[in-house]
Amino acid sequence: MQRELEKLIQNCKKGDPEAFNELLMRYSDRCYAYFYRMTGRADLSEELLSDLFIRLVRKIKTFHTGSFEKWIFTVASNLFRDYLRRHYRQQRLLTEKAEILRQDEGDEKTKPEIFDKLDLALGKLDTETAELITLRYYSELSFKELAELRGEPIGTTLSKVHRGVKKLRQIMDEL
Amino acid sequence: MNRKNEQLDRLLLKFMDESQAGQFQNDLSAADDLFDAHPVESIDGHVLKAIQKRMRLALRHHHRYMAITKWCTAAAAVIITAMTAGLFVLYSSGPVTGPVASGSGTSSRASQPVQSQFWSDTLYAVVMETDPIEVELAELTESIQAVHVTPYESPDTLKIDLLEIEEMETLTEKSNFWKG
Repeated sequence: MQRELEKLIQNCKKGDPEAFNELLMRYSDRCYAYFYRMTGRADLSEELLSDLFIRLVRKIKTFHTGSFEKWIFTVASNLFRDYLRRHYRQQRLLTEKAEILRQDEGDEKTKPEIFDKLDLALGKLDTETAELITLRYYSELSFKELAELRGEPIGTTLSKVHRGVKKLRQIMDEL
Repeated sequence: MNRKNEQLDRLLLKFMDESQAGQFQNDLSAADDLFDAHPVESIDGHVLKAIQKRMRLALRHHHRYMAITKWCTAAAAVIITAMTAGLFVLYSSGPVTGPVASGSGTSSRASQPVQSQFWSDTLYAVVMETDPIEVELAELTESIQAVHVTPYESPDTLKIDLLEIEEMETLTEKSNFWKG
């Protein structure tokens, strides 16, 4: 499996379009889910996913060794942060989410399309904690890798995730 | 979701006691259950196709960009090498003076490589252009020096001279008086 991935990456580095297509098939669901959980919007997630793979085309040669998952989710996380900086402040995003929820309270048809309870609960956490929990689930990274990705000590990551999952459970219970 | 086996128990016990570690693991698995229970809808096929199309275009563009970059780098390298070689040949062939370059230097330059000749000619042209300036500069220096040689006559010196003349005249007059 690992060797297969290495070969795939090598082919991507050579500029093989088919290899990129395969990479897209492998990672699109998880990366899309990560973006979706962070933004709560399908259209934005699609846009971010597209930008992510364009960035991969340009940057794949900079990946040398180590976990590809860690690398691709680092790129995804940077992309999401860039996006937040450029277009959306966290508060604006949350306000928008809450506004959509309020507007659609009586409209059962549109509800599942926009976001679910988990999405709302994640939105109530601070972006950093929500991202850590989401990254841990979708990227399947270990705590050590997560800490490296965030550039912080592993104890800090553990503590943030611990507080976050506790709060998430609490919010879900209240909803 | 398959988790990487990272010996979470051992890791957690480094940072917390057993009960806290147990609680943490419970919370983690509950969070995982929440995510499992709320799956994100799969991405549409047409979106994936659009991304594939964008990727192909980006790849083509990237290839072209890389090719242009490589070409420009190679061209720059050739120019720099040629210039360096030219300068090397120029400075290693000894100093070039104006008069020599105009006459007897021509025959010796003819045997040099074309590049070397080009650089020698360029330097010769520069030297020839600077010659008249040097001559003018020398003339100017000479004229400045000439100005400095003549003594400076201040109003005081003039006054002294006038007084001297007056004195001389008085003396002459006096001597004439005694002479009758």
